[in-house]
Amino acid sequence: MSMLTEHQQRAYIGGQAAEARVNLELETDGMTLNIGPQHPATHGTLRIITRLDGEQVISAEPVMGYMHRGYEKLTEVRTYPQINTLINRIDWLSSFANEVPFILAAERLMEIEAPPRAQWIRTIFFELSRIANITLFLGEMGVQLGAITAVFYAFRDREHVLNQIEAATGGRFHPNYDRIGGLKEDLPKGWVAETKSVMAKVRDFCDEMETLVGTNEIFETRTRGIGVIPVEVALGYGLSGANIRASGLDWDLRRDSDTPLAWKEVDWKVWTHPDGDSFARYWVRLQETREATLIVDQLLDGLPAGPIMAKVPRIIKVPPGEAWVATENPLGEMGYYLVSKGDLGPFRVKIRTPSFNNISIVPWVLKGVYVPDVITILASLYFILGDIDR
Amino acid sequence: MSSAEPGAGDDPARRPSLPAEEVTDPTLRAEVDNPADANVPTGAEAAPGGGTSAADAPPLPAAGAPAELSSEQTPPQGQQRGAAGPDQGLADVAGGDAGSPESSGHTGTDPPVPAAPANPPPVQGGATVPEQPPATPRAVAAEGALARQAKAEQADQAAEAAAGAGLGEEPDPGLDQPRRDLVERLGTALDGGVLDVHIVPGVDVWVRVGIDHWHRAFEVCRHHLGLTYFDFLSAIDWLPSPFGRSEDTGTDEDAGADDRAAGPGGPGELEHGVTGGSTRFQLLARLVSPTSHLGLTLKADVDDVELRAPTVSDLYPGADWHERETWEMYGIDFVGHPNLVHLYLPGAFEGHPLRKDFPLLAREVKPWPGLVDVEAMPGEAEAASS
Repeated sequence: MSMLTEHQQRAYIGGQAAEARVNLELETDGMTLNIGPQHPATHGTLRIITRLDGEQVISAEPVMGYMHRGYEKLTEVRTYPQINTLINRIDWLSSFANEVPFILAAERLMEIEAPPRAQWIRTIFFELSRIANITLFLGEMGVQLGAITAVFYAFRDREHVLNQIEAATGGRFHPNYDRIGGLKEDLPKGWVAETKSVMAKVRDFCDEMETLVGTNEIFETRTRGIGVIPVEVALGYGLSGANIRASGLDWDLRRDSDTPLAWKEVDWKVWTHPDGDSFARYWVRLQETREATLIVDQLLDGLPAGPIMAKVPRIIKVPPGEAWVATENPLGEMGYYLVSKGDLGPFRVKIRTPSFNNISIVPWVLKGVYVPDVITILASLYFILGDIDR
Repeated sequence: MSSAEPGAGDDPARRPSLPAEEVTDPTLRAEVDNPADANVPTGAEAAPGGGTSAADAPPLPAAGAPAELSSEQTPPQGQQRGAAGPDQGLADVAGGDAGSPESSGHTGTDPPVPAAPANPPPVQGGATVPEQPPATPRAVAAEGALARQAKAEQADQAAEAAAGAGLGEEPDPGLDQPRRDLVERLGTALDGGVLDVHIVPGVDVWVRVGIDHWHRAFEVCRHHLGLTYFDFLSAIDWLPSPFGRSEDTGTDEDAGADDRAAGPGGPGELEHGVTGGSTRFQLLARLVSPTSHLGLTLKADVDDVELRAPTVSDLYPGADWHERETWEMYGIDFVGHPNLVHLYLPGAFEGHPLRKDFPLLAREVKPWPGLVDVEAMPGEAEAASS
């Protein structure tokens, strides 16, 4: 054994001292880690202030409002057709699905029902919105865990769906296609066949995601058992959609609530997963995307002929009353509590968005997790900031 | 519950230790290739109670789904909820989950109404009397507090079972018996707290309770009526907008919709919606049963002078943020709320934006350019307004 030089000895002692200091620091006080509001992992401008003890999160507090646009106030000064444009922007990845519950609420108060063909087409676009939204999630979840490839596939195949939405509605992101009493326009020629081929592509995409991400060993290691939400807790926080189905609750408003849309006309399945962890949430969404393509296929096959617009007055005035309509949007239960006093615009609209409740569980679910899992859990809960802040 | 059991939280256990059980891919592969079989739940991925298709199954009855989140199927968790101190969280929410052995065991060991100590005094006035569903003997009231609570638990479960059985039947759309039952049981439990009820058969039900019974109403819904899903909580300001036409749509005259301003009361008179009301601000909340899928909209008038209400975030943790939003948007104080701070608005913001007398400045400065959209075409005004 060779003698240490004086220099080496000093370096050794210095190193030991530094380590001791670090240990001391870790033991004595924790650290505050600010995530966001512009962190790329946060889907917008969500900010989370976490208090850490070493690698563990002691407390996490989301800070919101960076994108609050005051939609509930704005709806009070707009007419019903104008609001339709506005609420497209709530969950901007599935805009058409935002329109549907509001239109249904207005239709319920007006006692109008759209003709069957309109309901079927609404359902088709609702599911197309779901696919456009969730495909992005399926890829993006990979990105957040460090696997970049998946998201390129997601953007590629979402494009096909957006093209179909654009072809019929004129808007890729904000179709503004739903109308009180029906739809803006009928489907263009050749759209049905084209959409069917797109659905096949989306199914291929789902298979790809399953191979690339869903069965990836690293992915499973980072998601299995991470962020487990028992169903009772999920209910208390009002979690909905795939998040609660991933906790084992068999509840889907498409099947379990009484809407005039056409889900009851076709054969499909509600997917659940018993684990309640991040993997389960990913897995359920993956299955739901594939299921949505099957729903669209069946609806396209059975699309009834007929008008797409019921007889409505040219100036929409909704009779006085209150109505609550919620639908199973891509992110979960989205509902509008509509109060009308018989005017051209509503008196009050309470917008119940899924992400708001889904993210309100964050302080609970992040308690005690490790820092890398924060991103996993946030990604798997899947939120859109516009859907939280409204 | 299931999450607390896999205790092995050391580092190796964070990895999925189920190589042999990874049937995920074969199952899925089979389903993809063979969609006809897709409805048969198989392997580790088959959820209990899952896998019903819309066409061949009616909405499931209770099914005990929550309790069957079995720990065998849950991989070991690195996260260790138990270590993170979530027991409190679990206890808070586990109470109302009847109908399954595991969860009823849970409720047995927990304080039956964990929320009680946090309640503000006014609400607790009638709260010690447990709910008396028709099947329960009245004698319960005479017993000591502990025994009473235990009995309430039993009654609770019995009532749950009864409700579960009742809900399996086909509801009569004309009568809407399930919703009627719900309201009746709530009314019995609140003992005069229900002020008004509005049922649209087959669609929805509204119940207006006194503000003193607000917390108790949630407690009953949560623990006795099975409405464990918290949907939303908000408020309505019934004051007609004092900004009148400037903030309203400007072409109302053309459309003949100016009746509110021209009416006998004129602007300033409160007009309440369904279930009526007596004050300017009204709380609004919705709870849903995850098993019967019945929802209930609760309302309560908030006193004009003392703008406050008891918090329900101790019963439904999801109410926390909703109450924060309602507080900042309407200025309604929620007594007992753990963290009543701004949710959306910056800390120094003054005023309550969703109140009707809070001006929408953008509209004050410049009229809404989109107004042209609602102008009637020549000659169509009469036809449209009729």
